[in-house]
Amino acid sequence: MIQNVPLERLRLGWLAAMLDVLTALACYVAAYRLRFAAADVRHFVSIALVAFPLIAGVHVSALAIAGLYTVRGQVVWPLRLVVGTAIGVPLGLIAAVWLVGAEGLSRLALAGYGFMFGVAALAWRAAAGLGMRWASLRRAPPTHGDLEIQGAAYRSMTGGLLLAFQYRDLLRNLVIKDVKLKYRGSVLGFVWSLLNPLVMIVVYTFAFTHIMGIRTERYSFFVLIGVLTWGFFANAIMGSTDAITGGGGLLRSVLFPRIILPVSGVFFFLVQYLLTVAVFLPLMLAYHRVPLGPQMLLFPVLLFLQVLMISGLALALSAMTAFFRDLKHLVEVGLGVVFWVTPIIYESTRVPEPYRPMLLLSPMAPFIMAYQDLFYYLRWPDASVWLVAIAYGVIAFMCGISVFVAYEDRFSEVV
Amino acid sequence: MANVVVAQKLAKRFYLRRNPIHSVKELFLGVFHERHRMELQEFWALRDVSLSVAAGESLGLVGRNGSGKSTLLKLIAGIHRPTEGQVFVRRGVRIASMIELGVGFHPELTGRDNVYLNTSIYGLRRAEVDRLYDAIVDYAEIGSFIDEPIKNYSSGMAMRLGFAIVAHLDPDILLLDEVFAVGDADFQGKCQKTMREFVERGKTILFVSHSPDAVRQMCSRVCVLSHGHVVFDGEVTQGLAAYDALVAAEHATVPSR
Repeated sequence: MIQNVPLERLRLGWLAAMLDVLTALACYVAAYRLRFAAADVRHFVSIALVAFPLIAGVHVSALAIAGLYTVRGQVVWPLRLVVGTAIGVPLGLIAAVWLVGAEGLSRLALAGYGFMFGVAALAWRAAAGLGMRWASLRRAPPTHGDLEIQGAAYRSMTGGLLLAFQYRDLLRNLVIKDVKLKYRGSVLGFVWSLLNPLVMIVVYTFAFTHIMGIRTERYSFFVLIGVLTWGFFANAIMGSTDAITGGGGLLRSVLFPRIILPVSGVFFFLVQYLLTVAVFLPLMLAYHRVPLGPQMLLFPVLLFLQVLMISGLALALSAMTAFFRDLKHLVEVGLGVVFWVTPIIYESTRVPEPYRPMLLLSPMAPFIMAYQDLFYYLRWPDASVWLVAIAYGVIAFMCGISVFVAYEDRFSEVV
Repeated sequence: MANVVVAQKLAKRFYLRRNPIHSVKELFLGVFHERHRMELQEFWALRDVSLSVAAGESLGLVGRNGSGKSTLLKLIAGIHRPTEGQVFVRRGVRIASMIELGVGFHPELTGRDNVYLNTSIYGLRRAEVDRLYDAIVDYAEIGSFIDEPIKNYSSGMAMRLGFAIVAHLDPDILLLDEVFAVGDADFQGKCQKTMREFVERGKTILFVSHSPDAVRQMCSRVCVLSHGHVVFDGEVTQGLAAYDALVAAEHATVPSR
């Protein structure tokens, strides 16, 4: 009964490749527009557009080599996309510098291009996947008299969400479990989760104001906002890589909406975040004598978008680590990088003017910058910040759901 | 009697990985080097299995190790998705599966917390659990230990609690896998009694077992599986005889070492 599977024939998804080239062009132009002021952009774009076919060609070839356009590419495509881009864009830059010359080629714009391409390509694939799924679900599933297909509700999008809602007690119990396990048996209990941000704030304040001598008004308050928000993000993302792989026996023996597992992890860290904020924020507001502003009422709106984005990332990562365990280490390294390109411990105004718009590309940057606006600068966040925050929230959640539902019925076989 | 479960031409394929890739690193080394490429072998755990279970039947699934009976149970439970064919179940029936005992228990949490957590995994609402809670604790016979962390339980106590939870879910169809292989004689007796009461109330049971005695006591019908196919489907004594014959035939072809 055991036989070798013939190697699947290499088949290029031409349509997907064409769409990727179009996406690349749009992101390329957008990246140059972000990097340079409108007046300068004309000067650089003429040279950049000569280099574009080269860079896009090398980039899309790298994606093809990574297997994105083959039949096999339908498996772990987000990973193939990310690795193909991470290798393809630098190679494309090298090729372009070699053939066209370095004049007018901005490395920063290309980094932005690579990132935006990744987000956009993930987004159109997720949208297409959800669309196809939606279309297939509208066809009535086969029935057998008054019998229906086992698990049919789990496989439909609306039915799946409805089921997840019916299992809200499980969600609550899992969050309570995590809270109990974290704080039981420790004398200090909840105080422990205040200690970590407190130490970070003291260390950053000392290093910034006393060692590096960078003067920022009320720095401890400024850094608090970023550190707490980042802590929520980083904890939830790291936690999500264990959400499915840690569910082992449960996934193999009980049928329940799998989506509850990663979502409960995010909610636990959300609870912890809110408790920490509830302790630190009034203290800091009182200590620094910050007046209350009407802007602060926007906090729940931004928090909602932030939870949407984190949940999306958590869903995608939890599903993918079930198949590739070392993704966890990649995520750890990635978080270290993202921390420093996000204006957490430095003000975004310290970044030289031409690079400043690029900051928004970091997934947490729009949220942290918005919170700093609300509580520290006491002003209304910029339209661009809102736009990026909404885009990240919606795109990440869409991609996350799309990846998760595509793989969830195979978790029982791989964990 | 009307059917509650219908399996149509079920097949389940698993991929066996000769040099499994569990990491991103290997996945992309594989692009450049043959040695890192995953070789897939397909293994059909089930092939062309059709089965109907009527309401109130208690069906025993027997077969040697690797014959596909647990896979069949998981397909019916909806845990695995069939590669081919379909599993149909009657609209609105509650299915509870008991494939591993005490799975989902957290050792650091008390028995009480674990009862609430575990029942919610099976989809019970909190109000229902409040109502069932005392009955579950009584049935499990663990007394004051219920407020102790599960890690302090003997393995028998944890299993009793696990079984007590499933016994009180009151499903219409119960899927059981080898749970009687564990626990002491008292516990096994209690389980079987509960199962018989369950059958008497007109509920449906699918029961995977290696024990002919348990099958004879519990089941009204037997399916014998061999290498992913149903080779016998019918009356219990004949079915167990067919199973014995199958085992004997395989022993005859493979001389004992």
